[in-house]
Amino acid sequence: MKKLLALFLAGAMMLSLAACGGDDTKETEAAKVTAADTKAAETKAADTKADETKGAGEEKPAGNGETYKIGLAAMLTGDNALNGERMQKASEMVIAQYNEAAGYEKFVLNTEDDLTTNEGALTAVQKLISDGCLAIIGPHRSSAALAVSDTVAEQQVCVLVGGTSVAIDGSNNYMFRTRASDAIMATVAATFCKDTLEAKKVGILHASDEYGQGGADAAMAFFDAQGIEYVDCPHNVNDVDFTSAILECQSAGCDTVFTWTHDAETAIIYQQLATYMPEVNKIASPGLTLDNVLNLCEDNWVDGAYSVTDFISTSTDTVAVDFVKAYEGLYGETPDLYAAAYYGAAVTICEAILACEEAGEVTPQAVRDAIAAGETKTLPTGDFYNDDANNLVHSCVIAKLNGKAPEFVQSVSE
Amino acid sequence: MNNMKNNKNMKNALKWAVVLAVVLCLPNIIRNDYWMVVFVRVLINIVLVLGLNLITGLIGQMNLGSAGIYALGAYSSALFVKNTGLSPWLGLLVAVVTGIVIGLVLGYPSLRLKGVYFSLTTIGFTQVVQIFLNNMTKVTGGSQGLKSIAPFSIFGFQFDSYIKSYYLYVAFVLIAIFCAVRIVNSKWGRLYRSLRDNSDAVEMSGINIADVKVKAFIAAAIFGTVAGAMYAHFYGYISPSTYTVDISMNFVLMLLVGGLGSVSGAMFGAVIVTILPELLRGLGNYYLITFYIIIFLGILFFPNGWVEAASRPIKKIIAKRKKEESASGEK
Repeated sequence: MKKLLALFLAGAMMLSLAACGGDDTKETEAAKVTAADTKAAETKAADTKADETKGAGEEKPAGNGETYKIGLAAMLTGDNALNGERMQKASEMVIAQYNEAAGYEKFVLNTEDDLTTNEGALTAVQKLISDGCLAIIGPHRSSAALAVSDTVAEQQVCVLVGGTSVAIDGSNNYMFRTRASDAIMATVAATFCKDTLEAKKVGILHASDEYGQGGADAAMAFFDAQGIEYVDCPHNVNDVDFTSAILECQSAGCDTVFTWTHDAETAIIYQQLATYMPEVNKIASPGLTLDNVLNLCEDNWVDGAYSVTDFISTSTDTVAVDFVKAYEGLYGETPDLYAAAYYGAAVTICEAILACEEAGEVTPQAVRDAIAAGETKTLPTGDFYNDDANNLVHSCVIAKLNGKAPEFVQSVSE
Repeated sequence: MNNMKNNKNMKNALKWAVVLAVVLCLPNIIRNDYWMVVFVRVLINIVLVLGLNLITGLIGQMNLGSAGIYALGAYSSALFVKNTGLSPWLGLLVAVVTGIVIGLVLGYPSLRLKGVYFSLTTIGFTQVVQIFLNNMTKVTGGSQGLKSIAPFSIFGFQFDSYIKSYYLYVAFVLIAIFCAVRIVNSKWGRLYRSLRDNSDAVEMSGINIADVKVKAFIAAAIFGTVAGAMYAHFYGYISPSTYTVDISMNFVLMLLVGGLGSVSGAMFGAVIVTILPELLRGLGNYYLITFYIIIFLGILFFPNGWVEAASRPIKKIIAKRKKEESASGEK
């Protein structure tokens, strides 16, 4: 009897899941229709492309009527599923815009879950390559990017990764970085500490993994060069108590606290800073501007803190404003740095494929070369162009939190 | 009687020959790099789960430290090869030695700990290993890990493609199966089972439990470290973020699906838990939840594993046929 009941319940769960799946498809379709309807709100990049591609859907299909596959290896399950969802939404938005401009389904987005693991990333990327994708958006994390590095180089299909670690050193010609590296962002944050916050002694609280250590190393190199004292306080990923590190900073007389760590840890550090060092100047890694961190915080924990990030939705830049409008119109939510960064990645790939089509050869190698040689494009996260180390983005934004609302302070270029 | 035994052995040999033939033909049937990566993952997982089966399946101690063992195997082999420039085969040997050391380190505490306390200790072991790998930056590359780890090679022949690695790893798995079968069916296997069922009775029989348990842990750790070395030399990149308690849980899941204590069950579990999510990818955002529902139902309805559940009707048919044969013989 118990087994029958369990079977019945499981069956009901499966049916409800199937029903949810149906809604999801409808949502995607609806998103496409909305994309068409809100053409006026489309971003500058897509509008420019629409002009270029023969009539924006009123004429016959542009080019040779071919369909091109683009891959997306996103963190759809695991620790960063919410961020992966934003990657997916932004990429789908770009594909919808370009298909609208082409007048037919010119681009197809193949999405695979990378499980937020290195192994999962390699499997997802390999599947996308086997499915015939011309280029791949993601994986996001630095270690996942390093895990797929040899495979993409061997199979000559490029990936546009979000990993900001300094370990992604540009030596792989098939790997482009679509966010400013830790070296850039952390150096910008350190410079801000010196110039604006006038820091004399800085407490550096950072994760001991590739992300936290990379940022901390860049900041420490800057402080060493400038003769600014600092206290290095590393912690393990998933730690929940930072009081000893904070008290160490307090007893060392730090006037500024620089945090470079993950989302949950950031929220806890800010809670504990509010208790032990409420008056200290604070500057954080990009996570502090994300909703999933701010939703964990009280206003007074983060009020007045600064953050260096790729993008904030209150940016005054016209391209960013257009992007925010279009994204909000489509999904009813405000885009974050994940959406903005991968919007840029998707636009870059679509533009490269269109350039290849014009040149008469659309292969993964040609797409890679087109990305490498592509002209500078202004996108929500700044100007996209390739440098010697295969970095596509060279700027970041400093935001100040007013309560829990990130406000644009300034944009800093490399 | 001898004829019957020979017949049974013949049938078993035939069954394994068919499986081996299918395994060897797979790369020619499925010409797809993605699936080759998945199959290699299956082979690596089989080696590790065969070792885990000795501790969790036979002795009945829930080991959640597989990720730590796996990590140390991968790092010991990779570091040796990167620092000395010597052959990955010697790296594999270093991984085996590492396995012996881990077996001793984990084996002795297991003499004093049981049940949930032992599981918590093994979780702690994984955490310690991960933190150690993260923080020993100068030795392990820290959080950025180790890249460009050389693949296996024999006399200049590099196993540097998915298909070549696949065939090499099939050979590894065959050796691992041979060792596992020998252990499970030997007096050691019977001792392990009896330890699970009633360790006091075993001790009363004059058997040195400490020695038996430590040897079991050493054997299991060697399987784990060899799997780790296979992983490192196949993927070419390792980082501490790979080796979390989550993957330890996944290995235990493989064992539960296949059935605790059986070699074929451990293999089947590794195959199912690795391949099924890939087959379900078509379900989009719901593929993992569907996978876990299937696993949950499987464990609920077939607590002794899917292999046992699948073989039950076959066994019934055979028993029925035998009964009929003996009845007709009597007539």
